[in-house]
Amino acid sequence: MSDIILKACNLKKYYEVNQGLFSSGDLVKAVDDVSLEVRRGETFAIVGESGCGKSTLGRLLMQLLVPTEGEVEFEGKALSKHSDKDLSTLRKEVQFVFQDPFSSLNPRMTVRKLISEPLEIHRKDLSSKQRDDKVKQLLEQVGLRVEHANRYPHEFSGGQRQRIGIARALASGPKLIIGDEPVSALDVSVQAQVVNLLDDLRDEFELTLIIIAHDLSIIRQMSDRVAVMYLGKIVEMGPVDEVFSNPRHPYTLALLSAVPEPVVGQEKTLISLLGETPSPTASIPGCRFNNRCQFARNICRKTQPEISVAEAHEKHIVACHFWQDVAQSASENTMNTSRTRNEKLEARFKLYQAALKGEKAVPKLLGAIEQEELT
Amino acid sequence: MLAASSSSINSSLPVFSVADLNMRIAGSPTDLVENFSIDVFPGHTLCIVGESGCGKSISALALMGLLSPTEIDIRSGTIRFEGQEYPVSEAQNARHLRGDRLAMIFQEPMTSLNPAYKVGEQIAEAITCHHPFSSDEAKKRAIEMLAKVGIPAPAARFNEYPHQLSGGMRQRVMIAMALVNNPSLLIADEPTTALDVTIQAQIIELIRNLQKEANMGTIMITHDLGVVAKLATDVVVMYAGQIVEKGPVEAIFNDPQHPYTIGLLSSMPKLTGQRERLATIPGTVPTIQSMPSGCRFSSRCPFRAAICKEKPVARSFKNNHSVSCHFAPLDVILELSV
Ligand SMILES: Nc1ncnc2c1ncn2[C@@H]1O[C@H](COP(=O)(O)OP(=O)(O)O)[C@@H](O)[C@H]1O
Ligand SMILES: Nc1ncnc2c1ncn2[C@@H]1O[C@H](COP(=O)(O)OP(=O)(O)O)[C@@H](O)[C@H]1O
Ligand SMILES: [Mg+2]
Ligand SMILES: [Mg+2]
Repeated sequence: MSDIILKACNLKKYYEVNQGLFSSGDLVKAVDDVSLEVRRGETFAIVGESGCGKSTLGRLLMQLLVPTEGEVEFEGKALSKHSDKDLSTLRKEVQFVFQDPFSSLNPRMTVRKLISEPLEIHRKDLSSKQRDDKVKQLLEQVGLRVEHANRYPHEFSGGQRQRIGIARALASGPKLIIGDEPVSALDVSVQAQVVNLLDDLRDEFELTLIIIAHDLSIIRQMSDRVAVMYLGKIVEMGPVDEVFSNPRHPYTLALLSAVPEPVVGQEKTLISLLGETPSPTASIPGCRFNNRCQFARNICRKTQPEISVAEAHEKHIVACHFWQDVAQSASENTMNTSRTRNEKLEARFKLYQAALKGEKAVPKLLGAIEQEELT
Repeated sequence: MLAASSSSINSSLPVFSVADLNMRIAGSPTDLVENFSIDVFPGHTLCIVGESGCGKSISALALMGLLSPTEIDIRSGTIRFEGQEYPVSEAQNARHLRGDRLAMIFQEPMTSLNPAYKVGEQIAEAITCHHPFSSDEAKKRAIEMLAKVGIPAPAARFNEYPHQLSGGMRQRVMIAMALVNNPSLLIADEPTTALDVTIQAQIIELIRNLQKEANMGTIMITHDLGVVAKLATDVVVMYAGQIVEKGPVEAIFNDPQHPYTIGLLSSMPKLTGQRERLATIPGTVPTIQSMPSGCRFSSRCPFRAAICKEKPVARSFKNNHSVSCHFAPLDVILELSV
C-alpha cells in the first residue's frame, strides 16, 4: 500500500456570489489551487482564520463538494474515476467529525440508533445482535457508558456529544477521519479529554486524521504536519515543530505572535497585521497577503509567489518572496524562547497527575482520608 | 512591565466591591452563584475565569441589574461602588442613576448595537443621554472616540451601520460607546471570544492601553487563561457557581493552590516547550440538580476525600491569595511527597 492515503492536486473551489439577473456576480475563491499529500497514519492539520477556506477544503477532501478544478485521490484513485461501488467504499472509509455535534446529530434518534445507522449502511454483514454489540463496544471505546445508548443527544454535555459524533464516525470502520474544528466548541478541560481520546483512537484503529482548527496550540498538540491557509491558499506547510519554531511566512509569524499563552509576564512582540482581512471577493494582484504584510516590496504587489521548498533539509514549503527576511525576524523574536521552567509549578502539576493516576502515596500523604473511585 | 506587580500593595481603595452575592433560579433549592465576593481597584483588571456555565455572565448581569427578579432570586449581596453602598438586588436603580460611571461590553456586539442606527449616532446618543452636550459637540466627541479605539477614517465610519463593519471593528465601536463617558468601572464579558486570534490580540492591546490611561477598574470575563495572563492584575477562578481561588495574577499562574486551577492550567495545550499528553479534569460539570454538597469540585477532584463533603472555607495566604480547599496550602503535601 502506498504511503500517501490522500492526495489533492491543484484543487479549486470558486463561488459566484451577488449575481443579478443580467450581471455575473463576484467570485469568491474559497479554495484556490491547493495541492497536498496526507501520509498514512499521520495527523495533518489545516489552520487559518475564519473564512480562509478550511471547511471548504475539508469538504473537498471528503469529496462532499465537487471542485471547480483539480482532483482528489483517495488511495490512489480519483473520484471522477470512481464507480458507484467505489463511492460507497469511499463513504465508508472516509468519515467526518463536525464542530458542533449537536446540529449534526438527529435529535429524535437515540444514541443507539445514531451509532448503528452507519453500521446498517456500511456493515450489512452484521446481524442485529452483532450490531448491538458493536454499538456497546464503540460507546466504551469513546468513553461513554453502555446505558447511554437509550438516551437522546440533548441529554448530553458538549463533550459527550462530541464523543457520540466520534463513535458514529468510527462505526463504519474508516481509514481516514476529517475533523472540522472537532474540539473548538469545548471547554478546556473537556477539550483535553477529547484531544487525548482522538490520539488514542488514532493508534488503536490505525487511523489517519485531518484536523481543521483555528487554535494553534491545539494543532501543535495534535498533529504531525500543518498547512497554514490564507484567503484560499496554502501559504506554508511542513512538520508542526519546524513550522512553529521557524515560521517562514509572515502570516504564520503573525498568527504565532498573536496567541496569548497562559504564562504571566511573557511579553511577546506582537507582529500586527496591517488592516483587516480583505473581502473574500476582492481581487488582489500579486501575493494575496501583500496589503497586510510588513515585509512586502514591489514584487509582492505584482507577482504571486510560488509555494516552494524553503529549507533543503526539511519538507517545509512556503509561498513568500522574502521568506529569508521573515525567518530572520522570527529568530529575533520570541519564537524560540522556551518558557523558563518554574519548578514549584511543575511539582504541583506532578502532584496533580499523581493524584489523577490514583497513586497511593498521594492520598496517604493527604492524611487519613478515604479515596473514593472517581467517575 | 505590567501593572500587575503593584497588586500586592493595595495603596488605594477598591472602586467596586461585591460582598457575599448569593442567587438562585427562583424556586430552586440550590444557589446558582454562592458567596461571590470581589474587589476591583482603580487601574486594575480583575479577570473572572472559569468554564462555560460556571456563573461568570450571570454574576456580571446581576451586578449591572440586568436580571429579571421573577427568574433569578438574588438572596443576598452588597455592592460598594465609588463609596456608595447598595444591595445587588437594587443594582438596576443604581445603573439608571449612574449609568455613565458603569459600563459593560458583551461578546457579541450586535446584541447591544442597534442595527437600524448609524454607529456614530449611537455613540453620540450615549453621550447626550448623560451630558448636556449639543448634537454637534456630541458628534465631535464620538468621532474622537472612534479615532481613539483605532477606527480608520472615523468621520466616515460615523455614518456607517453596524452590519457594514467587520467583527473586530464592531467590537471597537462597542468599546468606544462603553468608554465615551469615562466610566470608573468597565465590565467586559468575553469581548474577544468571537474574534480571530490576530484581531483578538489587537483588541486586547487596545483595552489594556485605554484602561491604563483612564485608570479605570475593569472586570474582564473570559474562559481563556491565555487572555487572563495577558490582561489581569487580579484573578478570580470560578467553578460551578463558587469562587475556588482568587489572588494576584502571578499567584494564580505561578503558585496555583486549588486542584481545579491546577487541573485547568495543566489541561491547556502549549505553544512552546515539550509536547506531552495533556492532563485532564475527569468527568463533567455537575448540573444544578446534582450539585455535590460541600465542595462542588469534589465530584471531579483527584484529591477528593471524605472531608470534602463539608464546605471548605476560603483561606487567605500572603498577598490576598485565597483558596477554598481543605488541602490548601499544598506546599505541606508537596514537601512530604518529594
Ligand atoms: N456555498 C458558498 N457560497 C458562497 N460562498 C461560500 C460558500 N461556502 C463558503 N463560501 C465562502 O468561502 C470562503 C471560505 O469559507 P470556509 O471554507 O467556510 O472558511 P473557514 O472554514 O476557513 O472559516 C468564505 O469567504 C465563505 O464566505
Ligand atoms: N436567566 C437565567 N435563568 C436561569 N438560569 C440561568 C439564567 N442565566 C444563566 N443561567 C444558568 O446559570 C448558570 C451560569 O450561567 P452563565 O453565567 O451564563 O455561565 P458562564 O457565563 O460562566 O458561561 C448556567 O447553568 C445557566 O444555565
Ligand atoms: Mg469553517
Ligand atoms: Mg458567559
